[in-house]
Amino acid sequence: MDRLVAVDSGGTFTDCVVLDAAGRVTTAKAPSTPSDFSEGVVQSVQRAAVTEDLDLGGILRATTSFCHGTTVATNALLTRSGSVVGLVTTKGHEDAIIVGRTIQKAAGLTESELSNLAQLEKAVPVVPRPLIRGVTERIDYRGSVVVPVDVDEAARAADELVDSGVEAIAVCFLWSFMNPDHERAVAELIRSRHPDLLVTVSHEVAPVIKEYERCATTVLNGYLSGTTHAYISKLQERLADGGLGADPVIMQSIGGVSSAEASKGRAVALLGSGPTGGVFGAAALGRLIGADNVVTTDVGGTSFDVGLVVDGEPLVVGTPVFDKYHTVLPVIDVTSIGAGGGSLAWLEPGTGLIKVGPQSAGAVPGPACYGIGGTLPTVTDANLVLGRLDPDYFLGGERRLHTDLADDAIRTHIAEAAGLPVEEAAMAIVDILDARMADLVRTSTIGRGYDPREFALFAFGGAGPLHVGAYAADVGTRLTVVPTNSAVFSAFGIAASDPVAVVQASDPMVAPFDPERLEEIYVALAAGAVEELRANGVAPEDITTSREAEMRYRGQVHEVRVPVPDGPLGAESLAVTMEEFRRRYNRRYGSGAAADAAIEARTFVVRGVGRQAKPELRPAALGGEDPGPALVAERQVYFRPLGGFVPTPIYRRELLVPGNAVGGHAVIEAVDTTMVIHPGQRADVDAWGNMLLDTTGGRR
Amino acid sequence: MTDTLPTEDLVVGGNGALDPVTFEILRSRLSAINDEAAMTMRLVSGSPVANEAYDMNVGLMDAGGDCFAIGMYITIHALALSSTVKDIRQRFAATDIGPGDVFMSNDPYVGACHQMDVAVVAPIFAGGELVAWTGSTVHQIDLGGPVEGQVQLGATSIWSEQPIFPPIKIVDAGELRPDVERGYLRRTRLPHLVGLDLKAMIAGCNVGVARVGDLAERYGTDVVLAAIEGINVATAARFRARLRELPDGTWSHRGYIEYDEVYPVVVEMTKQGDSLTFDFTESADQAGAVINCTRPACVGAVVAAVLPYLCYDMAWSPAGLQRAIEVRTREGTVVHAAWPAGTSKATTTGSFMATISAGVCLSKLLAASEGHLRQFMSTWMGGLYVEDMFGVDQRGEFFGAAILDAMAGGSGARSFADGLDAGGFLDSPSAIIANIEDIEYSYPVLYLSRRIQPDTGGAGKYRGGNTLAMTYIVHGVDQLPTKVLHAIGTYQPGSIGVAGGYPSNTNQFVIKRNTNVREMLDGGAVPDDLGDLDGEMEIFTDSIVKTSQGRDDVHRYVAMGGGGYLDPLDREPDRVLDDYVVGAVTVAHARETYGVIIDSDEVCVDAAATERRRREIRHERRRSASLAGEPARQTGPS
Repeated sequence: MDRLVAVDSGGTFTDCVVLDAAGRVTTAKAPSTPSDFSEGVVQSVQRAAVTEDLDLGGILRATTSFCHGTTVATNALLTRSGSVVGLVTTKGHEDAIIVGRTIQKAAGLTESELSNLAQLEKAVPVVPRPLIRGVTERIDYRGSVVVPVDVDEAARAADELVDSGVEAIAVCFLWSFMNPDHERAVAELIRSRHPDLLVTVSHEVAPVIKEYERCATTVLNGYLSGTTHAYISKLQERLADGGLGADPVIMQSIGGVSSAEASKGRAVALLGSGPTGGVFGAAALGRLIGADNVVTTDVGGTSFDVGLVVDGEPLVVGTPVFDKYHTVLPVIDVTSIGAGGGSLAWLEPGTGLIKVGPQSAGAVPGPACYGIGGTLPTVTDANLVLGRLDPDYFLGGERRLHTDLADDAIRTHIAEAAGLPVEEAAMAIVDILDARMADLVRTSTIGRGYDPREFALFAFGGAGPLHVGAYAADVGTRLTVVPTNSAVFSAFGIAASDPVAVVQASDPMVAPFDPERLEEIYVALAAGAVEELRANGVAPEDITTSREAEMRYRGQVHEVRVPVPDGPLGAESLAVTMEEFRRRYNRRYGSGAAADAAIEARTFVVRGVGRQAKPELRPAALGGEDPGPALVAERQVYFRPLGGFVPTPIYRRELLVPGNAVGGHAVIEAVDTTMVIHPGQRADVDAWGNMLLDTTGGRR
Repeated sequence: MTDTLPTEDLVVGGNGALDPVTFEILRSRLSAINDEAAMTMRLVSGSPVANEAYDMNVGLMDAGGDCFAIGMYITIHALALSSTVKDIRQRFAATDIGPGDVFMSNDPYVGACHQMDVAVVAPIFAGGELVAWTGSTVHQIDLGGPVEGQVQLGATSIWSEQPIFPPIKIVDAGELRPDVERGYLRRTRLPHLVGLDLKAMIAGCNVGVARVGDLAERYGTDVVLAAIEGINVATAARFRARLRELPDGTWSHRGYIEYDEVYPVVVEMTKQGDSLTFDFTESADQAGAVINCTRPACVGAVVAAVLPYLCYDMAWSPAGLQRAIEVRTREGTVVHAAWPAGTSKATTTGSFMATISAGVCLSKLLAASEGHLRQFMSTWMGGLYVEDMFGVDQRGEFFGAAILDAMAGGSGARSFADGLDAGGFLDSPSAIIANIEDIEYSYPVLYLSRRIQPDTGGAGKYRGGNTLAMTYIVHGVDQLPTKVLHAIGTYQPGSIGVAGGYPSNTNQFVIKRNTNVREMLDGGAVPDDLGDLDGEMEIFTDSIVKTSQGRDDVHRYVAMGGGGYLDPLDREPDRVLDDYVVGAVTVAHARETYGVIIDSDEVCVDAAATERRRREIRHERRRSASLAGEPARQTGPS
């Protein structure tokens, strides 16, 4: 039978989801294996196979589509284990990537990190200064040649870099997106002199205005391609040996998948693709259940990731930051703070106030209750002390938790000094974490110009369902959803992804725009997107393309992505586009904000998608509300509004069926996650098995 | 002795309504609300000033006007909001301050840092009670006055600078007053931009009013009031605890503002137990206009230095700090202007130098502390160069712009590492300089280079960060008719070194006139530096220059690096070599200042020659010291 397999390698766990043609779902988790990530991938598939009473070969031979999300590029960047890369750039501008617009020292930092000025550092350079060479050439803002490129100088520069041992060369000249001739000439020259060298060129990787970000993107691509290439090749080999007939496809940070071959040459497009599956999955699930605007919250062991789906599409950011480098590739926008099950609780020196995170106990030594060496109290310890977690049913009983150790840790490090009973200290830890999560949900939506109360909130990741009842109520979102299989939801998102090709180019212009010129730009971009998808094996009839423009008011910095009608473009369709720009600008930035200023269009984007047939999830008929058959136990759980520990019904997630309704207070346990229903709240199981949580009836 | 704060200290005016957990949640929530206000303001404004230079800020004040939360933007602005609120409390009848009101002011003698930094503040009511204030401010590019932009060249008092207005109601019970808005926009050359920023500041205030109001409704007014007071008490307690960890003593510094003459800013800082005093009374008498700052700006400038140096691990709550800090000034000085002295450029002169000078004292305090030596920073970029350009752009439209590349100054050396090259400046850690492509697209210029300039950071065992040098020509037009170049630190480096470390370079701006740059470009060459070009050097020695640039003129400026730490003769020769390899230090500078002889062919250190050279420098130091004081006992190398 045809199967679709999606595997998501994370920092701690590798998650696997298998969908069969009937829409049946199997999930599995295996530890990630950073020394060779392909090992964890194969392990997770093997575990899924076991659940289906198959062996690895059995499941791989039956698989027609294998989708994979990998952190290999992110990991190579964070550990600085990429290739030795050289940079050839415009003479006089060699330092741009070191200067990093001076924001580099602060890029991606939290406010508290930023206030510690003496400890700020710039990025550990992916290209050291001695491997940067300036070459005589200059093109101006119109794309006109001011000084022709000195090819002899470029040849010397390349030869010197090769002599210095570079494995890749990045080429980035000023204004190359307006006129790529100089970059092209130099790239060809280097390729002909050094055929084995990887050459990556800015007008190919990211032909977008902003020389620092474009340069960083190009250099990162050169830096990461070697490692990524090796990893994907190895994975292809292992899977093929195991019996997989199809070539795996790789999740991109823009959302959507691309072929293994294309991904090897564009490693930078995989950076930060980790949380993308979840946001993409949320968009797909939102479409299914009629939620167009969604805040996604992914709570793991160490981080809390927030993404947005607006009008059915994941929100995209054009200049994402990766380990202090701003780049210029559109990616799904995810904000992260250090807050999760492993976050450490501590007392602030000087005031004795309780703080939670951002430091985490990690997998090792882990929370105190793991009993594997951790002695400091974490959020997981607090949840255990409060009775929210079952010590005998954590990860389905795979890991036994030690309540006494959790109790000791909280007592010694928090409760005694703060003069609180242990359970109140534990509750304080959870309350503080929940409040921080609510704050991040608010700031990350408000900061992008949206009101979170107009959004549905989805919670997933191992610890999402444990906390969502509190932070969703605090934010005041109208609908809260814990998706079915929430602990492996990201892998679901990967499974739901279609092949995608996003092609962009800058050509800044001021309104009134020339429709013919724009049409020309879009036709060329669309041709590139279609070609890329076809090369990935997508049939032409399955391809759809859509156009976007990044526009702004002249003199302003906010760029707004606006859909542009399919061609051929005329005065009328451009008027529609301009109106849509004003509407979107006003919605995000306030009405009448800059209405008198001229409008600029700067960057043009075509997104090509190859629609693939997917196994369809089928809604089940709704049964009765009574969750009684899923009630498996009762235990003492702490709820402050009820005055402390109270007998609380415990339901087993797998036994709940569509139509069931669970009223708070209650706890619902699955193998890989636990959900808390607060007093006054209510959770309904919908036809697809999602939990719809109504938090309006109760607050903490 | 424990520094743990007794819980009951936090419960002020709240009838015991506030427990420590709720306090922690509310503290974080109030700070998030302030962030939201800043984000909202930036989004509505959309200007590069608010979104890249971050020359803006937001603050939350208690009912009395003390500022308990500020954004991570330019610190001094937030204190201006506080002074403005206090003035309103004093001058307006309580019945004239009501829900839905918003006030604005650009009066430096009330609180604004200078006339360009308009302060917009709004009271927050809950259940009919005034519980707090919210405020926002964004630097404006033009608010009228005889000269375009901020620097009122030729002004002799505040009357010949931009028009000023003390606090006035711009929104009355929720209704924008169109007459006041019209009067405000009438005076600027850029009514559209200024109008939009006004909306942005009001929008920022609206967020604070609504969200703090919600909080009071949800938690109770008493609880929120107790939390606000708790923040001030807790910050004061933490800050006093920090002071007790540091050694007692007195440190001083003398900084300079170049204008029609040189104006010293003199500060003596005394740290005793858990109090900190800054005494500026010996500073120079005020100038007629332009460079002075008022007392509120000077106090804000001191807080802007104390926060990054001493409060690196605590929430930035100025009111709490101010309870432990005393700032002494003398009216009639450059840092405490007496009416009607002008202040149009204050934030890059009087108050800037007050921050730098206070920072130098604080860095010396940290250098003397074993426990906090790791937080030591020598001076960050001690003088900001700004270029205001006005003219007709390549599309034939009038434009005005500020070129702020110099914000990429060098940061100060640390006790364990060098300062950051192009590290930025202390008072705005998030500031971003523009991409050259964005500048060239918008304005009629073409950059020949923008590089990190070697040797600009102060030398030391740990050196200061180097800064940028850039050269550009006009492009697409025949000339830039108006360029106003202004800076301090043109005679004397603002970034001094500490404990034997050397100072940075000075701010330098020159135009090479009537060069052969066009022929060179046409001939297929890009000049590496001005030395490659024919033409006449015009070297500007004044700190404020109004000039123009023609087709064949090449403008070059070098911004300011950071200060060094400890004697450069103690820097490991191999680390000097590393600096040479990455282009941070030249062979000549290595020899002259570090005493390290680099063989540039072999790319190695000549150890014996280095030893000799370092001995020679030490001897030279003894000799010159003896010329200044007691006769030297030795006359030759030992």
